[in-house]
Amino acid sequence: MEESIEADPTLRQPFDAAVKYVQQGAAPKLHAHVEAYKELAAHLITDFGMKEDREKSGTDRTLPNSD
Amino acid sequence: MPPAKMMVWMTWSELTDSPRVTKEEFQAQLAKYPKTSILIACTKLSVGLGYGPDACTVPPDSVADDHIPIVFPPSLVPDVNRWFHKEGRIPFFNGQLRYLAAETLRLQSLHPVPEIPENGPENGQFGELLLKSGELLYKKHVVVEDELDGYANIAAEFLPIYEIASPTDPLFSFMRFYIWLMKIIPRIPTNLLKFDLEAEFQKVFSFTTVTYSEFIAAFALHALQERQTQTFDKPIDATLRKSWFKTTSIPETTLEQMFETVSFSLDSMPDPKDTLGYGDFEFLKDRPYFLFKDEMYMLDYEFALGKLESAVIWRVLRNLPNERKEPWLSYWGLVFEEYVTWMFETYAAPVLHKVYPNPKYTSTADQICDQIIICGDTAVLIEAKLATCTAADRYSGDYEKVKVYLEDKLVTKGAGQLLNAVRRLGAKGADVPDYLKSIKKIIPVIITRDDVGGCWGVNAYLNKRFKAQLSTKSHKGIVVTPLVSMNVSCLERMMWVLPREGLR
Repeated sequence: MEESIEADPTLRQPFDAAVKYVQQGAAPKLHAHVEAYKELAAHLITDFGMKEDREKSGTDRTLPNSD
Repeated sequence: MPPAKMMVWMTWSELTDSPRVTKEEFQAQLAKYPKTSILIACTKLSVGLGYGPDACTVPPDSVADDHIPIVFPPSLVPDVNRWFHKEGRIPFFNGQLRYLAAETLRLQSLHPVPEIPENGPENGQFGELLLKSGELLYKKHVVVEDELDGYANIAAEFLPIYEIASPTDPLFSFMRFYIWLMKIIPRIPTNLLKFDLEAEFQKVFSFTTVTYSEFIAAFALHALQERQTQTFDKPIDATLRKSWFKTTSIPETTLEQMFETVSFSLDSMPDPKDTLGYGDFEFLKDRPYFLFKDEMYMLDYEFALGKLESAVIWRVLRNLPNERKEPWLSYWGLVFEEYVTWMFETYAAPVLHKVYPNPKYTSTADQICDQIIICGDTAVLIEAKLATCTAADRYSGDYEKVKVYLEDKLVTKGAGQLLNAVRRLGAKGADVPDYLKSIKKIIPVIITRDDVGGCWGVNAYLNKRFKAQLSTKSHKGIVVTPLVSMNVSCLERMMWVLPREGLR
């Protein structure tokens, strides 16, 4: 961040473009977000009384780029 | 990561060497077709081009190559390919579909064409409609002489573009808000929460926020499956039917109620309004699904996943009496501040970052800023702002309106607070907390919930205003870097690095 600030003191660009660590799309390694998503999927199955077909599709899905 | 790549989209007038299309001409062309046919096609093209997941707003080249011979007439395909592959102009992007759907909805409600979906444009005519849609996403550049006004002008002109080409995966925006409901609000002391969220929500919707979240997630799951299972040799269905829920115990009336909250049908459309600017898709954000013959069509994946937040914050806001609207937004401002604190506490390495939420001076109850992160001898001073920019300002393209917004929401309340903090820390008075007494560098940071904090021009504007009021004498012995502005999506996408690197 410090180097980017020094390189472009006016920071006309969006922060995304100015900092090499910020990538487009799925935010990587947000483990607590992934956990919350799994909890949501589990609650969804229970609360909606989902049977096998939907259970399979509901629980298989994980947040992209979450490793 | 590679630097952001700027690309220019293809326009119909350049491709066909014809005059620039006007909005009126485009409306006249759309009026020849059933609205239903165009809206359903928007859904199918969104699935076919893979828009939405992982912030896809432009299809991969191979997907574009597959679609070019389908949506353009054979006579134009060589030219399209040349513009695409030789000139680097992109033929397809998500904004085209948003504009096409929005313009279709702005057609007069007394539409003379019977609503028979099969009577729509031929496949080979959609390329023209898409390129014309892209062409109309345009506002003539205004030259502004003053440097500060120039930055506001960049922000005003690019904010709609920043939204159209959003770098944020919509699933993460959805999960952010879900986490606010499930984890962040319960962390806040109840005496600070001035609303009973569930009570307010259920005055507008006949669901709990949990059930509503689950429905939005289930609908999104359907859209993801459509995209994941789609193969180029099969027709795209993309229809969300009640039968998709046949393996659940959800009563049909509940499903219908839920469908009603997220969708519109042509016979229940409000009168079309004048647009606030080419990037104005407010109606679609509020009603991202098209309901036709009891079946739903997701017109925009990002808007559909944003529906949880828009229902909980904005629909409830509309229902509140005027005197309770500002406190309602303050409630969410508090939630947002708590989320930023939670993010650092959850993801940043404690050995590298000491997090001080709601830091105060020792002798008074004055807040220094919203959060301070200490990394070695560096203090990162954070102001977390909801900073909601109204549609009338954000789509106006008018730098004067955007300037007023920036001054009101981010200079006075954000940069101003940071400026005061730098002055008081720099004065090294007795009321400075011990953990700030030996710092050698300050990084002032503004984080916004609204996309605006990450848009072109905004950081430059805020930094210029910040620096103009900062005297070097006020912080002798402490380096103060330029002010950094980002939106919460940037923070989330940057977090992966903080377990191993200090924020400095």
